[in-house]
Amino acid sequence: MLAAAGAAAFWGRPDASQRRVDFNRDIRPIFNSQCMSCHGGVKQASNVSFSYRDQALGKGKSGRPVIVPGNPRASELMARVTSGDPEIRMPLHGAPLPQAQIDLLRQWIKEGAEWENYWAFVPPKPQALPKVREGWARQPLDRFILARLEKEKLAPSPEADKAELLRRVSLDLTGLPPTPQEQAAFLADTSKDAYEKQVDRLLASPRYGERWASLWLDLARYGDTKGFEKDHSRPVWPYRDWVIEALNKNLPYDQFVTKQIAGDLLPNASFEDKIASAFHRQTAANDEGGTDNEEFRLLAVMDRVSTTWSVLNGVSMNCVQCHSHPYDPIRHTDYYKSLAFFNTARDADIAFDKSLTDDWPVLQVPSDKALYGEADRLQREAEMLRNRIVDASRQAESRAAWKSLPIKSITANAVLALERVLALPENQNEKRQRQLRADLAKAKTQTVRAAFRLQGGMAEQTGTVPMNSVFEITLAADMPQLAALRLEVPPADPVKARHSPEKGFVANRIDAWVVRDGKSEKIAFRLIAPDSMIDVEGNLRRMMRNAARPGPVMPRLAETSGFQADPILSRTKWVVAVPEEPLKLGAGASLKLQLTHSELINAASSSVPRLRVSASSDPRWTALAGSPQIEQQYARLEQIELRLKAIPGVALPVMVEQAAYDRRPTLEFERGSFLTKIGPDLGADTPSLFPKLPANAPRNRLTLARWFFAPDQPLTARVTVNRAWEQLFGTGLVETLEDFGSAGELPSHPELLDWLALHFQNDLHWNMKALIREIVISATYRQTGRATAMLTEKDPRNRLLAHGPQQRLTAEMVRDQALQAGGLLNEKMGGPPVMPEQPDGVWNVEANNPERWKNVTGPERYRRSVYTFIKRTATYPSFVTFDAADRQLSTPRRIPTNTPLQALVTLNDPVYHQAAEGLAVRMAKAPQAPGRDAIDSRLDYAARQVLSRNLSAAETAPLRKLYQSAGPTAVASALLNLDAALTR
Amino acid sequence: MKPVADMKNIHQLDLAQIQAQTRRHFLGWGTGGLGAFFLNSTLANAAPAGGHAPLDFARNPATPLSVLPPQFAGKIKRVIYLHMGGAPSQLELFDYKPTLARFHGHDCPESFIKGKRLAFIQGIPKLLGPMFPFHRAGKSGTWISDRLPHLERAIDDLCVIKSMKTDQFNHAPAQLLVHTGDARTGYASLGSWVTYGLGSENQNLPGFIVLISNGGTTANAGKPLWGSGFLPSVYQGVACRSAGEPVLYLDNPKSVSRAERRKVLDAVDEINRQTYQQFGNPETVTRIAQYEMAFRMQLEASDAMDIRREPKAVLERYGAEPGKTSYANNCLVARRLAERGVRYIQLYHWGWDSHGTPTDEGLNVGLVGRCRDTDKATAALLADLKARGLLEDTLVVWGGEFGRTPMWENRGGQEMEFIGRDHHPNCFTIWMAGGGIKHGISYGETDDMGYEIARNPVEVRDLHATMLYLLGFDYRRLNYPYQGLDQKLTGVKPARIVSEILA
Amino acid sequence: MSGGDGISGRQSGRLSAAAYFGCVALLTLAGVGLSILAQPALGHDMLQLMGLERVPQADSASFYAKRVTPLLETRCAACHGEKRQKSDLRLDSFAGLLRGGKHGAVIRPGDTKNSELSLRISLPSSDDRAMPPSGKPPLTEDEKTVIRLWIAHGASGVLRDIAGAPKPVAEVKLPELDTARVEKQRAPLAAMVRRLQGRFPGVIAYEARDTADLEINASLRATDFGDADLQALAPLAARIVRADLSGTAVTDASLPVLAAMPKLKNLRLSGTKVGDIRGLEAAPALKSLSVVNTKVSGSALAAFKAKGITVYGGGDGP
Repeated sequence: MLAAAGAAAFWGRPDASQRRVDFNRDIRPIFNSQCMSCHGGVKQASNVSFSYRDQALGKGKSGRPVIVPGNPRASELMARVTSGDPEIRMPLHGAPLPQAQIDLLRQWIKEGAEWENYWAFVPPKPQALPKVREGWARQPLDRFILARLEKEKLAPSPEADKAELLRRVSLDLTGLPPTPQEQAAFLADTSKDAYEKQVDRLLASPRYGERWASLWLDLARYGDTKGFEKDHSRPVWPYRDWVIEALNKNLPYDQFVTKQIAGDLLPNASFEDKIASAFHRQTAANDEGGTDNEEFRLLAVMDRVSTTWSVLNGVSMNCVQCHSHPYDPIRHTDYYKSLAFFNTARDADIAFDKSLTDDWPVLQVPSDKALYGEADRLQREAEMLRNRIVDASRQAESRAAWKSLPIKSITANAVLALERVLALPENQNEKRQRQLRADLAKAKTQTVRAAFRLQGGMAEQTGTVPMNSVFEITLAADMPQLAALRLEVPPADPVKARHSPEKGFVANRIDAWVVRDGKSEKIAFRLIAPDSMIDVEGNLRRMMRNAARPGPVMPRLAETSGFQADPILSRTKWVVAVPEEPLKLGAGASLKLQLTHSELINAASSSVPRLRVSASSDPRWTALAGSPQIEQQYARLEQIELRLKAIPGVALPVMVEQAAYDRRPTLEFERGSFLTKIGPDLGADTPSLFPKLPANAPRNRLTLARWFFAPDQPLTARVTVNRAWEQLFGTGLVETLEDFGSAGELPSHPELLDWLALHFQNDLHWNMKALIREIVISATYRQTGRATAMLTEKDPRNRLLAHGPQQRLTAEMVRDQALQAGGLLNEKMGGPPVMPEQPDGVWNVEANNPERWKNVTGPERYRRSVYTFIKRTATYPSFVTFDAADRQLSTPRRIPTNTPLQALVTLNDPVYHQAAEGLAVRMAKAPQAPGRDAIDSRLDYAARQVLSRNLSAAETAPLRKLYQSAGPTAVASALLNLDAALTR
Repeated sequence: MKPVADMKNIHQLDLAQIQAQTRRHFLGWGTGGLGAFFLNSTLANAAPAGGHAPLDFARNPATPLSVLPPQFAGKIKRVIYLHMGGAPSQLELFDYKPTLARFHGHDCPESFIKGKRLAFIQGIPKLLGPMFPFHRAGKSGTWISDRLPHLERAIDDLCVIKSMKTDQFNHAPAQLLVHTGDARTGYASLGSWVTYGLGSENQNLPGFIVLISNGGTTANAGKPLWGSGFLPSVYQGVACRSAGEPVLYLDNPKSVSRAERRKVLDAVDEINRQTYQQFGNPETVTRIAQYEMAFRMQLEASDAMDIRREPKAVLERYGAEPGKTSYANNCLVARRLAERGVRYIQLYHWGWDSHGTPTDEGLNVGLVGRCRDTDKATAALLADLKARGLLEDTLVVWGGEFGRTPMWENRGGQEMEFIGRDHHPNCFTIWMAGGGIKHGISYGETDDMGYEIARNPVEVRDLHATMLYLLGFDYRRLNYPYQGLDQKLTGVKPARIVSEILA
Repeated sequence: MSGGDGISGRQSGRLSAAAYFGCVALLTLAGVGLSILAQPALGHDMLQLMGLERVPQADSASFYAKRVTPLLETRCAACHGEKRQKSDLRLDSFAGLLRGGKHGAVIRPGDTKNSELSLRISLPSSDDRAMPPSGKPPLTEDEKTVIRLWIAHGASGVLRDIAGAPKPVAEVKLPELDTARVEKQRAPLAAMVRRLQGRFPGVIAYEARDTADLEINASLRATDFGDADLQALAPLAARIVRADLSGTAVTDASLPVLAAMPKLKNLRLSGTKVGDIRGLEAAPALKSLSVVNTKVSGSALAAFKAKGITVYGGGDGP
């Protein structure tokens, strides 16, 4: 042993010239590719894992230490990778590691097995500008590009000519090619900063917001329908308009994101801030009958977690739902601490109005912006009033003393229920009446097999209860005076129900009688005091449906009020019915109660699962019921609802936090399944891998949003500048925009990425237009796109940027360019989405979803592509063919393809044929250019429209032949299908 | 040593490939266009986790659907999947349960519903015996009801699997699981994986074609069922129609003749080659090839989809009627596409969701109607493929997305006068026929009540692993790197190849 | 009584040190004995701790390791395994199985009637003592039989196999891809294959990544592909395993070339002008032949059927 140790010491002295092993560059890729699938975050075979430093330096099941810093011979890792016995050698049953990797591991351990976090999780370090040959760089970023080129013994390409450059920057910034007039003006401008002036013009154009919105709406998975089976349409376009406007106003990126993630939580949040919060309400909602709403609510909440982390930090958090992250040190519980930020939103995968278009909770957004102020004030007031009503009611309930009234008998009456359903205003249409009468006739013949268990004064459902039913209940009432009657519905398992709710109920009418020696006398309730926001909204909505019934509010309200836990029951729900005057009861009196269930949850019975009744003689109830204040509050609420309905607008789904008493706890899901939750209630927090949240800040979405922009946050700035880079050069400095983790790609220019990130964060203060401006006026961007054969051979994907970018137009640009060339483009901005021409049958008939695609006519057909109606289960065909995202999930980047179907679109899609015909008409009117005959002048005119330049002599010949043999439309169609037309 | 993740990236244009395509082939421009040629990858294959080298699926971008050999010799060359949307009731077609018949009308045992997640059933439903008589059929004696008389004649070609199971009980997520391996959207569909892995023999037609017919309201998950998910969009299914324009935008506008279109393409062709000389962008070369293929596809796709070209006797055998959109037409088109070397043909026929709520969805009406729509054409397709010697290297799969309950659905606790069954993920039945599969057998058993699987359960991912094995792939090795994971059709859980049904 | 306290009584003064410790040892032993009686499993633990009892191991080739462990690991380990040991029972290891749980041993080797494990798995799923509990995927009949048979045969960790046990589910052996070996196999014809692929794009392909054998599909070239073209592929004849020439212009003239292909398994000539296919049955490896829509008469097919070659078409036609 001694000799070996001596030898190790002798060999151990690191040779100065030999590079030190760098963990991230040399060792982590070996762990990721060779070991992590069995010894990572997912599986820890014989509890060895290379995700976390403490575990990697710990002991395996064999009891021997995996890695002993400084001593490779004592490290089990070395023994395993060098062993001859296939049963022991690692990777198990696989080819042995290449010798180079084994040597790297040995050297790394010898040099002390230093572990460092992956580069992406270490905040960017300030970078000195590299020293390079002067004269070429125009912007600091150029120096980094040139430094790398000089290292690879390459020289940058010459600057692109004016036509090529203007076309590229116009399409990159506004999504539209330059018009012939803009081309002429730029060619004529000989000033030194002619190009910079064009860039500023384009950045100031409203077209800028429309082009960059398409990118952001991919990330936000924006769609005009709810997704899944029914895929009903959903009015979310006000949010799309907010994005376009915010980009045009150049809202700093940190505010742009914070308003979208937590706009509703901003101190005195504006109406627009609430609209912005619709970002996270773009998640799909499932209206298919028989679905478990809680399951799809959680699916939406999990989508919000993974989208936030993927868009802002390029971290694949969605992997961590079921197990610790396979490669990066993010533990399973970290995922649920992130989930806790989003799990307390009020939406619950339900629509309040049965037409399934509204996606509760919603913000009434007027179509006319001038009315935003009024709509904002009204809805703030309504929220405040609802809070007041609920607070007063909760305070009174907790203050009063309650005496239990044991239930003596309970039966379910289906016939009475159906008679009441028949009478409901919303069921007055002929088809519904016919169906209900048939059900009623059948109900009269059937005996109801409903079964209940009476225990300790509480009634519990045990058997089958009919779809609609009225519970007829008798109660003992041996108390002298009754000021208020309280009905309670506790969950079966109150503790578990908090995080795993039970099926809810909707009791939408409460009637009661005092029975004294055989005679029953109806109790006229003055107030039905609610215990939460959802009851106030539900009762008001039912009352207002009964519009025909005039008169003061309180009686009308009492008639149609009830209480509900829709769709889920997560804590004891109660309601207190307060008569005008306290009831004198005394001996021999009893109470008769009726609970009507005439609405359904998930097309199934919504009856109360179990019921407790108690009463209070506290006079303050009668005072509360009688107080004019309650009446004014409800009357005012009705007024506000009527006014809001009168304002033409849409119901935009927005983020709203739950009230404190409803707040859901968040537990860890065992192996990711929401059916089995384990462990304590987790407080919302960021993964331990990242910097801490500010200690005293409230643990909510606003704190999380601001944390992403904290100075020590390692990734937000890098991911954002990388995304801008990918849009302008075709490939990001880090190619995998969606994954900066150790399984993603390494940056091609790490120093440049860090410099740009710090510059964007600290110097430009998140100013997006300034960032884009600096990139497009750089020498790197201005290079010509022409690539020499040598360059194509050495760097086929132009990652070193020895020549300018050559990108195919996006799906939106291809269509908008054709419309502009054909003189058809309608530049109207904003408003509801439009349905341009689309072949029939693309929207196949959805299960009872009556919506159809109606080809719009007139100029609306030719709106910019960003305004096209997006249906999640049947995206607009020509967009899909050109690789547009189908907006089901947040799409970090579009992967361009090159297929025959794209050729068929630009050749035969009606909109491209109409564009070609439009261009042909404009060609005919083109003036004759000096020194060119009529045909050549027309060809040049058309080329300037489509290719943003005149034709070369070689290009003119074939087009001239085509013009003479097939006419101007054929030439226009040819131009629109050229490779040059589809490239920027 | 370059990090492995970098080399596996499909967009990496292999240098050799560009030289080959730019110098030798491009200048000697053949009439047949670039065509497909094989890329024996010389990329150094470092052994990743799990000990075996990644399969290389990089291709010449001009022909992303070019044929690539399977990992080992497969038993089949193409797949025809007949999906019966809405979930046909196995208890009325294949899974004969005499004991259930005896308990018809009794209350169902508590264990059937206690703690179970059901779509619509509430309270305590009654048991519902099979609605139609069963008998043993063919030499194999396989049980079948009287609803599928035509298919019965081909019963000895079928392998009926009665022990399929899934964990989804709603239509959209369950269909996504069957066709993309995951109940959520965003994953690559079966057809996309197969065309990504093997390409398609006929370069003038899409490699993955979808044909849809409606037997009633559609309860489906829409385009994501044949989407390419994280795979490049060129591998997505192309929805074609047996009536009207077979592929969207295939036909030239009315005012443009084919000759005129050829002139336009010649001009485009010539100018694009000039552009390539100046800019040297490989995408230009690809685009030239795609325009050639589009021109040929206009002819080839119209011919393949035009069932009028079939003799009358064949139309009758399928019950096909030109000009209409029907399941029968789609079956005939499926055989024509199979003959022309299309790799993956997916048919959907909706309307099997027999809950018994509206009449046309009742077991006594809806199911009968859907059997009438599909039985004759399905049997004709099998017989046609067999007679033409195609069945021996084609796999035909028939099935729904889950089963139906042995209980009579009492939606919302209300007895229904129409007879229906609720969704039942615990067990359902599919059948397979063709290359590499035993025929004339049934595999797996459910318990006496048809509620749970008694013998040989088959998960959906096991079916996928078996299909990929027949195509010549170890299901763990057909993968695509996305978000740090080598994504697989079967997902992250281990799957089992159902060896007992392999011929 | 002078100062003596109860226990020793004989000597005055306190207990001697030895006696005191003797009592302590006695008491602890009694305590241990009692707890072992209550919890036999504890006894095993202690003995194993002190190394007196060897931790029971099953050898990897035993029936237990091959057939029983996979079942216990997938169906029981979630609640009786490393992370959680409900009623202190571990089923994910041979030792844990024999050690039993809180209420004693779960297995009485050789006696399924009184082994708690076999009783519990045989209960109907409605019984709340049934294992696996309702809600978890139940054991199938075969799986229950495997466990019961193993217990009946003495719950041994060595016994190799048990007669009458349901056939194990055959694992499909997936061939390993050795690119170097295949490269070597393909080398001789590789250049020729590449050249002919260039000349006939889309017609020639390797059958799979792990073989040098080739497949020909000329059907898509239709009548552009004739006898001369097939002749041009002659250099590859030794490696061709499948040939789809349906719809091409090949005639009877090509039949000898095809018949001479040693590895040809599957040949399609449907819709071609071939008529007289006598002699083709001599192709050594031919398994299936399609001659649908050709002039081939039924009479010529007898020779093929005799050699067990499946023939589609010819004579009767579809």
